[in-house]
Amino acid sequence: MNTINFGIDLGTTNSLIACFSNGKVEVFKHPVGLKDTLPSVVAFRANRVLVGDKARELLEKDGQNVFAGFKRKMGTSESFFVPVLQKSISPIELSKMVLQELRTFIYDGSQPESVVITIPASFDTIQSNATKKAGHEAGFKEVVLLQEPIAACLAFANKHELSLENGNWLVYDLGGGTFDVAIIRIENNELKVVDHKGDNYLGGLDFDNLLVERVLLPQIVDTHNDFHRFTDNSFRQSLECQRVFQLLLFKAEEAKKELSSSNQTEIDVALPLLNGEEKDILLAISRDQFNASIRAKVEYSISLVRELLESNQLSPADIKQVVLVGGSTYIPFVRESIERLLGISVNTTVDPTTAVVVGAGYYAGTKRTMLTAPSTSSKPEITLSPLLPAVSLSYLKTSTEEEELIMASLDRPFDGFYRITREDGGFDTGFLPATQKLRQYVPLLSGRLNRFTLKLYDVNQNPVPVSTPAVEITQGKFSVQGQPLPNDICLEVDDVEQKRTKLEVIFSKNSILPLEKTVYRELSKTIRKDGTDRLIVNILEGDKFALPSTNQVIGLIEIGPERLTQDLIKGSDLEIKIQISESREISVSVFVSISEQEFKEVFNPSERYVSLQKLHEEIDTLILQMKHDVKDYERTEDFEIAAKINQYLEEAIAVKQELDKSVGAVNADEKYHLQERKRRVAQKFDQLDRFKKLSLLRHEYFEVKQNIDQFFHDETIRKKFESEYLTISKNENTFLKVESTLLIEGKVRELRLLRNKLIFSSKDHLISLYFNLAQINQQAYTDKRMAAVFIEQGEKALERQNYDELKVVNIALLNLLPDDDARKVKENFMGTGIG
Amino acid sequence: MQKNAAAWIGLINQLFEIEQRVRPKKEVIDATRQFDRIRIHLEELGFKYHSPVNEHYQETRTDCEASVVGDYVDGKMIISRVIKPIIYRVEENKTVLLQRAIVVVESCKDE
Repeated sequence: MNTINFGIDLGTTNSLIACFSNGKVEVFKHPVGLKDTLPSVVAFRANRVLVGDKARELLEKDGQNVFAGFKRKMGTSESFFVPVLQKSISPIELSKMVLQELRTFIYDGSQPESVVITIPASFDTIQSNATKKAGHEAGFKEVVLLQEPIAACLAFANKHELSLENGNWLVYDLGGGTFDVAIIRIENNELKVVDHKGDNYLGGLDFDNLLVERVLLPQIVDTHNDFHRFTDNSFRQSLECQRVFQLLLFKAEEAKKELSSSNQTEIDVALPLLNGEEKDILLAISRDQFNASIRAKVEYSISLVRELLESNQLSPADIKQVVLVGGSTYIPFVRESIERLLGISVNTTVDPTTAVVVGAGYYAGTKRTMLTAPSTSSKPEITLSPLLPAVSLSYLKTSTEEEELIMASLDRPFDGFYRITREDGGFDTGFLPATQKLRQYVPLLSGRLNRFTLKLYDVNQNPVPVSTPAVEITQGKFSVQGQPLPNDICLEVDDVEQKRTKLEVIFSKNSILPLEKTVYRELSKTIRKDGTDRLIVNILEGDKFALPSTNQVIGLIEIGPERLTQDLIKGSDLEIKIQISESREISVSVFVSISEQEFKEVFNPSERYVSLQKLHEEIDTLILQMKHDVKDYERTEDFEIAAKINQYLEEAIAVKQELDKSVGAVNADEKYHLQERKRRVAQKFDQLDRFKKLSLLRHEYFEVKQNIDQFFHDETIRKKFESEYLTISKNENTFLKVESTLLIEGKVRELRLLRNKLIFSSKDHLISLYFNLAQINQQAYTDKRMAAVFIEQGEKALERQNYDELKVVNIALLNLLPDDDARKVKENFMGTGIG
Repeated sequence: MQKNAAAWIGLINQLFEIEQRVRPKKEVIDATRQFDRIRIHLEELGFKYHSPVNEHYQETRTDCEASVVGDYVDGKMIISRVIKPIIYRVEENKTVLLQRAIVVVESCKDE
């Protein structure tokens, strides 16, 4: 059975569209507006038609060309003269435009041919037929009408899966600008509107105005003499006052929403004084104040309900359910007043804003279509009809402008409209008359890929199945003149844990100049005003995976204690801004937040920058690393490489000796020379070492992983630690391929830490570790007496089977083992000061 | 992230409001660096906000919800006040509007 499935709430103030699918109703959102609702407003401009929010913005300003509330005129002979078009337009045509706009909400490309449209209970035959006509003109072949109060009841009944027992229901519909109440009688599963009443000029907008006039303004006037002018009638016509009122209305609407869930709220506003300055004021509003301001209006609506009941010889006790519709029924006072004044309890579980369209959706989901044509919601296949134009587009794919021109040409004359929208939702041309050559300037989002869609519509504004390729324009990112960076540009930062420095990429190789980036880091050590430590901001060019000392320094700011106004405390913030111009000039600015000092320098790439402190440290680290590696290679009997490294080591030591010799007396040339010698020897060492190291590290990585897998035979341990393990080894194939020893080293370190955790979580391993530690010659411990105490304590813990205590003993014993030599050397690590 | 989008939008609106209040008092409290930094962190999290104040306003701008003050003159309108900023969700290759700006629009004084 083919059902209609699509439902539309064609409201006086707002309209909505929904679809029934798989037992549920989905309310479609405005494609560029993020809201479910489309204001039922149409605006005619010189060359375009706007429907919805954009039209509503102009409602008060250009009343002659902008139309709202035309639903009330449906079925009358009244028509509206549009000065800008120099012709009259009927309420049916305006409703047609709203319906067509709603069709654009359907995001899955369905083109429904049948639809359920809701109408007020008050609509007579002529008005109902006028609605049908609008539906047909909007392109729906089949239009089924449903009364709004019945739709609301269906939404309510479906939400609660209620069986429709015989009885009377009351639908109280208080929207943005209109009020309606209806009695629905249910007899043998059939719903019928018995009677209704309403006021076309009562709703939430009135409440906002009341809140401003009666609650906010009196408070504002009391805060400052200058604000007395807001009560002066002539001032209220001024632009300045209108600006303030728009702000207050917006704030009032927000406060109104907040007062639905809390008893008190506050509004912050900055209002203009007579001298042009703004005064911040805080206005407190209680729910009681708000209720008092709207009381008369709400009570009036309830008097209409009472009249309706009386005229149908019903008492409140005869009402089985009260269904609330319209955003204003969110207000607790409205709900309480209905309960208090009518003595009927209200159910608030259905969203009153979408109740009617959801009900229409449910109805459409059960209503069989009378059309014999294929499925009502079939997606059209795009076939190029010989009668339809083929569209070719022309535009610049990249741009540095704020807006760009899109030109389209159609291969034959076309009578209809076109519309261009930007994918993010921030731009929409509305319907524009189409000619064979189309030209439209479109605004671009800065630094982003902007995607636009051009669509064609026939004279009735129904979409035409013409395939147009997506328009993609990249703003700002690529400039034709821009040259790419030949190498990575990095900042040298401290790896405090490993007591060495590492590189952090600022700009990757092939990024297009000019470039700018601000990085935020913390100080990795305290730098005292009366100390000797320095903060070193070192910008390097080269391979991001290489050792820092092998890269070329292209910018360096050294901040010594003499330049500080106060101590820089470890952990405080550093802001480092790096800019590279198209001519490769590098500007570095360092802002130290704690002392609020800024250090700026511009570096010309033709110069070299050398810090003696850094040079000393780098050569020491390099020598240490070389000695360590020589030992390693000799142990693995790789004598050839060991000999090579020894050769580099001699060179490095020579550099160090020269540096030591000339302490304080190194002239600039000599400094650059030593720096260059160091860099060359470091590069040679890095290249030789890296391949070997990488394979060793990869081997170690898998070895530790295997260890961990053994622990995972224990199900409890696996459950506890598996997610951590998976996080570490995620993207393993990628990072193991990267030629970065630092990266793989990091991963191995993480795995080792995890393995240690596993050891300390496993009873067997805790015991075996303890025995190993207890068997070590006590002379080996740094504090023999303490070691003996811990070993004894461990023995007792074992007897008591207290494994938590045993864990503590193990850690204490491990801490009593002496540090290795390398660690001692690392203790002297100075680093850059950037963490 | 999707789940928390409303909270992020709320947070950015509050931040924007603080920024609006502090900016005129720059002589007393200069928090420009802090705001810039928060912006960068928000971008790292995929959010970008923008105040369209003093930008031209046209009906094609669906990134703003405008209240028009004074006369509406086609092509000569300017955004004079921003009550809420435009908020975007920025992904690698895609930008999505999360919140339209709430603005006051009036005709250019000099034109």
